[in-house]
Amino acid sequence: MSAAPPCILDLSSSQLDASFAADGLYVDYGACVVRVRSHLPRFGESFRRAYGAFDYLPTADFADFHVSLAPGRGIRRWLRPQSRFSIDAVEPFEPFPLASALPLFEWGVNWCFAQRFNQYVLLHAGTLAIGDRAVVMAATPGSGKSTLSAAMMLRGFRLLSDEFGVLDPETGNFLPMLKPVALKNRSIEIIRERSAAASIGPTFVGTRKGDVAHLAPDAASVAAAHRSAKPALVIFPAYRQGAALTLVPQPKEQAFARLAFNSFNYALLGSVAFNAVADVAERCPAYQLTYSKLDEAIACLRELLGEATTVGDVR
Amino acid sequence: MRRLGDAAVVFDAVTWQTHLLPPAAAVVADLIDELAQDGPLSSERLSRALREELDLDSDTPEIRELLRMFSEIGMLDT
Amino acid sequence: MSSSQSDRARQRRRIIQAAVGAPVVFTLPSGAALAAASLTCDDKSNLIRNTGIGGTDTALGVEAAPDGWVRYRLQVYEINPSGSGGKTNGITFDANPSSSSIWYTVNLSTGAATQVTVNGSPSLISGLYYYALVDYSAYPSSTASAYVYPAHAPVGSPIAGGSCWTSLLPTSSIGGNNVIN
Repeated sequence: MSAAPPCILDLSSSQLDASFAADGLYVDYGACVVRVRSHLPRFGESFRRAYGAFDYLPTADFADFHVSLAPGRGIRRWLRPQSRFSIDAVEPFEPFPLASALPLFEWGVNWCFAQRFNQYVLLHAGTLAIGDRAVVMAATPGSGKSTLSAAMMLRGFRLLSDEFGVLDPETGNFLPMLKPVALKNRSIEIIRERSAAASIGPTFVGTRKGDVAHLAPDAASVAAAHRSAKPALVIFPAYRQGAALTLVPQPKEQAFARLAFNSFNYALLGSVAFNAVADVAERCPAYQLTYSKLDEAIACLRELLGEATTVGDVR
Repeated sequence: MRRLGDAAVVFDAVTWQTHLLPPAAAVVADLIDELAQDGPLSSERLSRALREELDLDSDTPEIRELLRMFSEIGMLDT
Repeated sequence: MSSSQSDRARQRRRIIQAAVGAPVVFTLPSGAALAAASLTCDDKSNLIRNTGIGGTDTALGVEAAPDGWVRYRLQVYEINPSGSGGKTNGITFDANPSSSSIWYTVNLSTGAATQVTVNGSPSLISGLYYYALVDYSAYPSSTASAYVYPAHAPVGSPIAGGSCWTSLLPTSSIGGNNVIN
């Protein structure tokens, strides 16, 4: 019996930097594997804090895509130093300050996945599960999706993704695309205060989306990175300061429309996406959830998930 | 067409557009579908059915627009 | 007519009568999710919040913007706003646009829409569209302003800025045919 690989946290930052600079590391997100190389100084430290529970994989049989982080060109390597992200040697973004290499990496991988993984229907949604029953939370402005997803993980939900609802049109199940949860601005302190177990990386100040920090996926979520979940509940969350918790059932066609609108590749996939999203809308209860207290919202979702039947359940 | 409760969603395989039919429109679509099973559907027959079955006047701008939409998305051929 | 047929007819009439306004078909915008350039979710929330529209309070720790909407594709026209320096692009929610319709110009840098009055007849720009927030529950209404979210207190800037892609892209800019999403 082969020993389990060490996890990222078992290595020091300098060991990780050395691995990145040599043949790179493979990161297994569940739905995809990414090979990462980096020649940035000290990238290993922030990566270690965000990916601590992930397996350390210096080799793998296959990578879905290859990304690389490099220093700025010419004088920008030293003067107001930059970091550059590339996928298959193409740089899709402008350089970032060197100090914001991790956010650049995170956004870059998200972008790569959303661009390329069209074998799945990619909803813009936070996806978490209890056991094999998934709650899909559409990522609309004002939803507080990332904060809610982070809090749910810290309260025992399995995190599949806080950004993607990776819907397999063949099975109708959701797959993990397990990445650190990007918290912004005051969400960072809110989550930090909620749990001592929260492993939050450094705060990157003044990025183009404000202050950003990353909550590492917990060990339980990482261990289940290859475990799909059946859709059982669709939620359209809306954070409103001071609001009482309210739950409004959504007509199925509205749930369908809102899921389809919030999809990266619905229009690209045609009838495949149409039927996959219609299946979810048809078989899952959908609610607009307005909340101001995270614990109330989580308790409500836990109760709803317990009541909901999953796609394919026999009533 | 997929029914979602009382409503429906339609994928147009020619244009790749997706259309939502709220319950009232879905009811009209169902009626059109039933009538079309008996062969080509004349405007007169459709008007009569809309009036008798659903109390809808096909001569109003709103219903004319609805029927135009159904024609445009291939659900009505008169 | 059999009893089941008459039951069905009764149920259908009930559905028709329960509808707000006449039955309509609503088309989801196509190609929406592929637009790579749009206003960020954060910017849109700030825009709505800072203009004090819709009573949106800043949420503690999260960005807040009203949501109960779907995006609706609007044809872009060339318009001549009163008191302006000349022609520019504009949009209206009126299904039959005229110079007396409610028109908006759009700031492509911020996604903000400004209501304007226009001179002369607007002319359609073929193939150019913007996307706006539509209050789905009010959509069947024939009142043009009901298209703007929320119907009871329309936001001043109805342009829908919250694209999936803006959640992923670290840069924010608006351009191209699709302003958002």
